[in-house]
Amino acid sequence: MTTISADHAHGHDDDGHGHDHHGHHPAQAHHFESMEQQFESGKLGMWVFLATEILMFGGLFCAYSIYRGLNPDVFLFAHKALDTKMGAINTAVLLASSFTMAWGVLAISRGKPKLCLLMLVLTFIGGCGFMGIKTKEYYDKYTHAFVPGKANAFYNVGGAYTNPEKLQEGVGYIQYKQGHGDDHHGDDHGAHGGDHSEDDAEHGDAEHENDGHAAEAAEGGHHGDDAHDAGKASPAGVEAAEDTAHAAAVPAAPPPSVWPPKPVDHANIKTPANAAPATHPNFTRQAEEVADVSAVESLYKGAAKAQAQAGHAHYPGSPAELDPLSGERTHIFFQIYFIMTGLHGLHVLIGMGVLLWVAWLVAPHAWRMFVLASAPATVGLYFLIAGYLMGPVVWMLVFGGLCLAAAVAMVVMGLGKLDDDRPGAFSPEYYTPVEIGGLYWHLVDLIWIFLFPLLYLIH
Amino acid sequence: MTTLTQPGVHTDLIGKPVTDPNRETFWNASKGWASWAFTLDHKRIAVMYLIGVLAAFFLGGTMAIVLRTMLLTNSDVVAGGLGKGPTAVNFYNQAFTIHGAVMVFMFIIPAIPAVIGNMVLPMQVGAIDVAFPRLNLMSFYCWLVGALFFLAVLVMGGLDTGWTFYTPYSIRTSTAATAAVLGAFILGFSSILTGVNFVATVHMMRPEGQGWFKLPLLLWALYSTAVIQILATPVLAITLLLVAAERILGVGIFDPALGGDPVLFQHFFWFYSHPAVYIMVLPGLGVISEIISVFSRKHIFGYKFIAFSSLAIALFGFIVWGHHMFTSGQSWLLNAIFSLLTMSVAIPSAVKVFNWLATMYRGRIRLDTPMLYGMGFIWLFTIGGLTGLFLAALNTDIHFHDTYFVVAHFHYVMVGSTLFAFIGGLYYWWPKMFGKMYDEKWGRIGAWVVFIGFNLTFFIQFLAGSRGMPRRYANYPDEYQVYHHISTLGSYVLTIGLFIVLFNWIHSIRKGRPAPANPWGANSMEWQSLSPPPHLNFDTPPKVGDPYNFDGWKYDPDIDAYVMRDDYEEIMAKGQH
Repeated sequence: MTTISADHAHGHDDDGHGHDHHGHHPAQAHHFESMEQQFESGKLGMWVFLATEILMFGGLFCAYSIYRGLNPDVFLFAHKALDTKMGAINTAVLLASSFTMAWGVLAISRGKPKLCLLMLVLTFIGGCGFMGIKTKEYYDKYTHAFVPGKANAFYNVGGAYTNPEKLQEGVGYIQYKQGHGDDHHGDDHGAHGGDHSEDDAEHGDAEHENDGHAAEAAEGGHHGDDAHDAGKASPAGVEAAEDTAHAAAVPAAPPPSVWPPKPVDHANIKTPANAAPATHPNFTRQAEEVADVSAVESLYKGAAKAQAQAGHAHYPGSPAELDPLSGERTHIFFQIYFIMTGLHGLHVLIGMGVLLWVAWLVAPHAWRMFVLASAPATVGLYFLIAGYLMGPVVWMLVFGGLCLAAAVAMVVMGLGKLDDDRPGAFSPEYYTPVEIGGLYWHLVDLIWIFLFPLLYLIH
Repeated sequence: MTTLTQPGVHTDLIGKPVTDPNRETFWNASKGWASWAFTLDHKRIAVMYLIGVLAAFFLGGTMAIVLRTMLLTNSDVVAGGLGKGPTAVNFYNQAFTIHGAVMVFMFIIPAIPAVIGNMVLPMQVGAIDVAFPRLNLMSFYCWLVGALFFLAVLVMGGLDTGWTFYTPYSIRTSTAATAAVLGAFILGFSSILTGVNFVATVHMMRPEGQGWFKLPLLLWALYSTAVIQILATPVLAITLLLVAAERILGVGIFDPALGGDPVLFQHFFWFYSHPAVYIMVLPGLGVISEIISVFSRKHIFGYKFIAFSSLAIALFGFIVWGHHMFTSGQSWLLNAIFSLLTMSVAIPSAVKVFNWLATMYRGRIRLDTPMLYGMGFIWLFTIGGLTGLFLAALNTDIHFHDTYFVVAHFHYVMVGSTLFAFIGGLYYWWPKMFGKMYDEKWGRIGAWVVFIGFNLTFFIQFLAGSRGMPRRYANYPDEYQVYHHISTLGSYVLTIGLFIVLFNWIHSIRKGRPAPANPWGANSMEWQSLSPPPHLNFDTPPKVGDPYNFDGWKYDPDIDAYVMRDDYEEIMAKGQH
């Protein structure tokens, strides 16, 4: 400290911060001696904070490693539920946004606020893209009962699966995905809410028929008994058909799994309270009791395709093929997936808020309302698109419309301020928020760079 | 105490009375509740933290007295209005849980860094404030919100998991464990923000001439603490989030019934909570380094050893967490490794103790109140540390695990050390903080009563524990009754001592003699400002020197304080002696 002059002692306001210094940059806080010290302090603080973030995610990575190390087959099996293509696109989107972020920091450090603003907006759009794709992914997971918590398809209490019909959906979907092979990652289920892609159609149909199928089963169709009850004999006709099926199917080596085409009789699924280990749903056993494989194929083209392409023998086909204890842990893969990506998504959202705040500061005053308007505009578009695809859901559409209206109002207000010629807050002398906001964004990117291979690309 | 010629006034660095009745201090620099609620002044934040942590200490202490009173009797006979029926036992479980959780998360962890650290750290580097004043305020509000969560726990059905939230019980219990883990999560943020601030301040705000080895040792300790706060707390944060997710969603990562692993929780929890033990005790070690040197009127012995031992404790603290799981089914190999690593912590701890003793050797020791706490600290820290070795050794730990031996051990370290350092440190910096001297006689009486009460309470627990008295039990066989009687009696004595301390402080604020700038003749920079300091800490820039070279100050009996010699700068330039 060189001097503590009188204006220090008397010039302070309530909080004592933010008063003027002669010859000092207006952005320099009173407790720093120079802009450089302030800038370096901010950067150091941010780096230290990033260390805490890494350690927080480190706990999750540690949990991930332990469960994957203990149950590699579970992770191999369950990760097929994820959509590699979407994940890859999101990785690219985030990488690109990190690039624009870095460009923005460079721009402001060279005194180009407008270029910086453009880059921040591009980065923000990247964040929107990421969250949009992530929403799509989550929604797809949701349609196949891959959800966090107790409603998960593989949820298992004390050795008994608690959501049998969801379990069918989940296993069927994963087997279907396996059938599509690695090079088709993600092609298979473009969208379920609205746009059925060509490739998706067959799977989508299979699903829809699944619904109808339950009704068929109720009519007493080609399968009647409960395959989960190991001791129960199949009707004679079924057994006969089964022989045929075996002959017709893959005679040399039995397929690793066959998706049973029948709804489970829930009454016979043991609830956690009275469940015993011997009553685990056993899909391999079910497969042997399947009455008519051709019927299966017609109903479950996807699953049948999985069977036909069962060259991927290193993927366990169903929880039943896993180690008995591992099978109980299949849901934990999804719990970890949702906690990790959910926490990461939360960080992306916070990062987008930071970006908006920084962009608002960078922008000349005449443009600030437009920057601000992008917040309700983004939220509004998000709800409009999601609301349309998911239903349509009326309240989401209304809310989205209101947000868009607010954005339009803000734009109109902004048009009235176009003559405000004050420049933005940052200059090459002072752009700490851009710098540390950028550091935060890069960290968010970096965490995803780890999450993507760990969750999506397991081999 | 000397008769003072100028008793009623503050004095400045050279002993001149400060006569301006309107002198600006951080207390009167601005007025109104908003000037406190939105203050960015590290000193005001320290004062708010002080009030907060003392309230938390009162709450936790009340629970301690309640459970000690319940333990007076081992029968169903009503003791202190509390019987031992099922309700009473439930209440007992809640009492020790609230006691532990409040004391750990709301009192001991923030106590020294957030009160003494906030008050002193920026001034010891001659700065106007910490690097990030807004974060500092946010840290206080995080503490406040977390504390409110814990208060909500009290009215929402209590908490009976123990402060460690062990799974799977913490997932199943019907008490308000979700609110409690979220509260601890938020309190963790408060701790992290303080740590970030201190690291940045120590790195960036030091004045020219104050190299790392001219920092007061308190700053080395606070810096090491901040490193732990930054690197360990986030792991607790994610652990507690997972527990909350288990309770709310049922994700099952720690629940064996769902395929999860409860020992994983213990690993996660202790990966934070063992280093957190050093969050609690390291700042205390720093405070004691200051007090011992100043009140021995002698340069600290082995400065660099003490400085690096703080860092060493912080780093070793990260690799010993497994010793909490010696009986949790950990492999023998891990047990052996953790046992060995745990013992290594004894080395830097002992380095400190030996250096303090060497500092006192042939010093001119002043047995003022802070020094009494300092010496009490050395005594209790040594006992607490050495009994830690019993628990680090595998064979003895199998016997001592979850007995009162463990309880006594960590109370010697947490209370005997940290609380003593906290009280001693508050006495030491009290004149600087409040601008008033306290009553020395009652300060010393209080120190003795606290010391005796503490040892009475906890030393006997070593004996009870080594004879098999398990911790956390509301009831016990007859043969343990005598231990519990003595321990409970001691806890009452301790309470009386602590109230003497409290009344002495209150009396000081109301009636205390105005404090001189430097009552103790210390040479760290905060003493070069008036007591209490102005809003911006210093009216003239403080002079940088060796913080343990006391030659630049001379005792002035007229004001019972030290004044700066005219040739201060030459003495500092010349170095020690």
